[in-house]
Amino acid sequence: MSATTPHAGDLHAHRFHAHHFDTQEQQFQAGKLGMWLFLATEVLFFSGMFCAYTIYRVIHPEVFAFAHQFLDPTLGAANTLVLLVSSLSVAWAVRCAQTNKQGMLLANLVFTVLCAGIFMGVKSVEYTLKFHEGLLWRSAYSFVEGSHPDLGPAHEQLRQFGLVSLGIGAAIVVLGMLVGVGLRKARGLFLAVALIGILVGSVCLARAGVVEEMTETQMGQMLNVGGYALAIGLGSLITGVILLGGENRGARWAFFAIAATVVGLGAGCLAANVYTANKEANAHSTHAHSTHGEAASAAGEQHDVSHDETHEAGSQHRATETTALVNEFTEEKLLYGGEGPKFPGIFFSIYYAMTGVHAIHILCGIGVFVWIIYRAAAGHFEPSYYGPVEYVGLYWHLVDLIWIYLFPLLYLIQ
Amino acid sequence: MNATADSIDDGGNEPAENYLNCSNTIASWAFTLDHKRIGVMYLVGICIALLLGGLFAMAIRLQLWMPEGMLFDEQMYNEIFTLHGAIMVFLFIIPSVPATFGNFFLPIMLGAKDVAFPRMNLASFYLWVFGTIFFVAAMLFTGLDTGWTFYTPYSAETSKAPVVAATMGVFILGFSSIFTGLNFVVTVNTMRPPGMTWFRMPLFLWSIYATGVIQLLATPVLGITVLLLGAEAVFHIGIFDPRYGGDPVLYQHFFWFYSHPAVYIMILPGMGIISELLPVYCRKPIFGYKFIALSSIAIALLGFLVWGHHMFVSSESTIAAVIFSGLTFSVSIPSGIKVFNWLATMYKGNIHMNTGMCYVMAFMFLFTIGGLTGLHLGTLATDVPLHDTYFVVAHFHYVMMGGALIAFLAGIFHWWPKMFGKMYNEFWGQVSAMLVFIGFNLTFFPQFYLGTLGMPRRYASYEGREGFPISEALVDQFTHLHRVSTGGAFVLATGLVIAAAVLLAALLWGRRAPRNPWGGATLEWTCTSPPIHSNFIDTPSVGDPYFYENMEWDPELGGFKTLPPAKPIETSEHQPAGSE
Amino acid sequence: MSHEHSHHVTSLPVLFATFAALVGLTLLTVYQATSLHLGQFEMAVTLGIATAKALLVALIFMQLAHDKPLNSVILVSAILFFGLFVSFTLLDRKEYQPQIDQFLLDRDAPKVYADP
Repeated sequence: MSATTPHAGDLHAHRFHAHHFDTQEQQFQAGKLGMWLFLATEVLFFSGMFCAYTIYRVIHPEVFAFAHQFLDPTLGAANTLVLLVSSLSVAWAVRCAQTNKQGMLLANLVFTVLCAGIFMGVKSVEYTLKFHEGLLWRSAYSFVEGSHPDLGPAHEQLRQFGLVSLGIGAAIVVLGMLVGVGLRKARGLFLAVALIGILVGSVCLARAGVVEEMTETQMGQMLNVGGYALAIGLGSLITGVILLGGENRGARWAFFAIAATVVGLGAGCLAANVYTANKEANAHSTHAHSTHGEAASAAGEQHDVSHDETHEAGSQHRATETTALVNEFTEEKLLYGGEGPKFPGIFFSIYYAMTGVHAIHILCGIGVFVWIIYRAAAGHFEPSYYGPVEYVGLYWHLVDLIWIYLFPLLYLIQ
Repeated sequence: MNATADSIDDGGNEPAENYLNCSNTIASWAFTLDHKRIGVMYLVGICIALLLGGLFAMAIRLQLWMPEGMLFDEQMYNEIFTLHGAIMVFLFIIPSVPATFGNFFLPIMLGAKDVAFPRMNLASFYLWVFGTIFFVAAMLFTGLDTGWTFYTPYSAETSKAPVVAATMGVFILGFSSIFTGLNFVVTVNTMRPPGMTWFRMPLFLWSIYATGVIQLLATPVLGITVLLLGAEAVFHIGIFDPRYGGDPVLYQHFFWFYSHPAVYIMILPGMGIISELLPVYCRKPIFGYKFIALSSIAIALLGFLVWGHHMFVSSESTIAAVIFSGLTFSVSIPSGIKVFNWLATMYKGNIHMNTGMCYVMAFMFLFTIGGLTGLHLGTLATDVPLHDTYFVVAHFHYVMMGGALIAFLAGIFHWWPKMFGKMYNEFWGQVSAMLVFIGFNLTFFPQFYLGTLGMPRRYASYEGREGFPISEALVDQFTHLHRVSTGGAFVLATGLVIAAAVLLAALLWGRRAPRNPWGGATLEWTCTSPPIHSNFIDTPSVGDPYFYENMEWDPELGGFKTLPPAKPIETSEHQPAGSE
Repeated sequence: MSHEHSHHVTSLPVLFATFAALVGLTLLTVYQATSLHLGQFEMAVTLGIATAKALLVALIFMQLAHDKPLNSVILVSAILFFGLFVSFTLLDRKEYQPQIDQFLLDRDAPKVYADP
């Protein structure tokens, strides 16, 4: 063939040049085309859910108008911002690979998985609270209007979950740093600590799950101790494995990436949980005001009253709006012979399908980013070979792009 | 080094090592990245699927020998025809031509060493195996009885476990299909050699390319459809199930948005094979090259506009039915273009009635009948009485089996010497083609008549009973027609068994194949038979894929040899690969 | 062989400006949905803002603006087939809704038997 082997200048270029391509440029373009075609299949994969969304929104607009109020636009907007930041860092990472800035490349990629972790953390808060309120898909939908389920335990669980995640992530980071200082000889110690930690943690968590007659404080302690023991155990295990792996820079960074994801998960979960708990506390106190107005005002919190009144007015407005909607779709239910108040479950069916499949894409993204970080740390990427960074970046942008549509379509219905 | 010199001393000093014997551990096959070996593994796999599906077909035909049903009760019969349909569609026809001949010959026809993503190619095969195991096990052990279409609400209500398991199998098989299609589209786009412009590609590549486009655009919709169906069956999400406020017709929209284009995934590669074989056996350049090439793309795109014609009697709205009916006829234009161009290629050709050509002619006859009866079903007024009768069964078997399977057989006889380096027995090959053709018509032509008489499909018996009352005379008529059909099925099966025997016998006792036994001008005929591991000893020079005048039959070789000078390449059309 | 670094490298100011625009549009769409009441235009405006954001991501972050046209064609055709699927299905679904309503009304209506 007329094209000769590229004299790409250094050995790295040849290291990843597949034999069946004539040139590296051809290999790069083939990979990119392949990724774009894959993204086209992704668009069509999501089209089914967007189609279901469109149909039911057109046929039953009242269900969407009623049900969307259970979604918090603040959390949705926060997650949108998180994804946008991560998109920026991915685009920047591609630029770093093109311009051979190895340090910034790694930093950007790790930051991206951190964002992915935060996104999943916020998502887990949203899902958990909805599960506790019975805001589920069509057949499991059991939300009762007017009743206020006690979300305290759910918030407590989320707090534990967030703290444990932070603990695991921090443990991996700290121990990873110790490795960097040079504790290779201590691998046996790390593995022993890992064994004990995992053992203690599992026993505590299992007890918290199995033993029934336990006070809430005891339960909390069990969860706490168990969580941290597990965190330390897992952290030690991972560190031990890194130590066994020797001086593998890629492996070390891949573990850091996992740590960053877990830290992000914990941080996102805690932040979103604190936010929703505060919001509920506010709403609850307003509720208390309206029912036991006189008793509460005896405390004389004059400066708060005006603030609370606006809240009150807002929630009353929401209540009347809701009642009207409930009436409307109760009629609808008669028409369809369905089971009445469960009808808005279809909105949540679509909500869980869309956001769930999207979240699975985020998880897959985390997986491939860990792999890319491994390769980046091993020094595989440089201006003459950076295809994989760009392909994974394209995938990540598409996941962001789909969220750009999901956010207004699910959270911002009027 | 040019290819012509090679072709002249063809046969004399072939290298002893080829892709089959260059390494022979199990691992060298199981983890191979060689597109040829993956193609051969696919070939074995889908032939097993064909055998399975064929056995179920024979069971169906035997059942209908007697008006009251001969072998099974209704439930068992439902499971048998579901197994037959699902295995044939998902495991055999959809991967058949692209995954075997596409894998084997697409890179070779491009003069390339491999497809663009060899590891993805291997992954595609293992996904097929995994999906198949999942799918068949789910169906055999739990009794799937929904038909291959998994229509709601039945599929979401009654047979939850088998539906979930089988649809997960379909989901995995969908990934396999997407990987294959994606690989081929990228390979054709970026790896064409210098000199091979779009309109110098062999037509087989055009059709595989068009197929790849459909696989990419349609299969993901099937993926989300079966996921939602699975969620419906397990969680009752109320999207497809009317008991929960869902819409079963919506499921049909979702399903046919994939499954109608999938019909063209099945038939387009077959059409590519026909376009490739006809000029070779007629010793004449293909007529209307550009029209055939572009009609493949047109079929691929128009195929997306007609899915609603499967739902004329499923309470689809009138306006949608009218639109879909009108659009349905548009598909007949590119199909007609192909058939007329094939006929024009044969006209005044020097036709060699080899086994391959016999199957090609069978294809043209059967596909034309299949296509023309499609018009009756695309017309609203005639579809209403014919819907869900044996007329539909006959129609799609003429297209799917008379089209896709016969084209597959044509291809396998044409390329067998190249793939395995052995010539088969020409006489018995032709006998198999004859038996298949006669048996096929005996099996399915009576079914058109059965359908117009009102015999519904998917019925385990036709003796007449409450809910399906028919006269004695009609029962007699049905019985006769069903018995002709069943008899024909045995002739057809005999033909297929002979075809398999001829090919397998060739492996054992066949004489060594020359490089170019039929005188083809595409690049695969310039490699050795079977090709070496890296396909070409020297980089082949790209010429006109349908230029035969520089070839001559050499009795000593038992094949054709190319005379220098080969038709020169017009450099004006020279274009580097991947520039489009 | 053409490795004269023809690949486009997006400059940092462009990346950050795009990001700022995306954040701005996100805030705008939240403001529009929670504070403005646009009635029938609401859906169009919401989708319009989302599409503007999607275009920014596709053209600059995904570099389609500097890429081969084929990659843009792939994305656009995927969206076209997406639209084809949704629009035809919606067309049909809206058309047969009255039939469903009528069926349910008939089913639930009290049975009236004519005198023989």
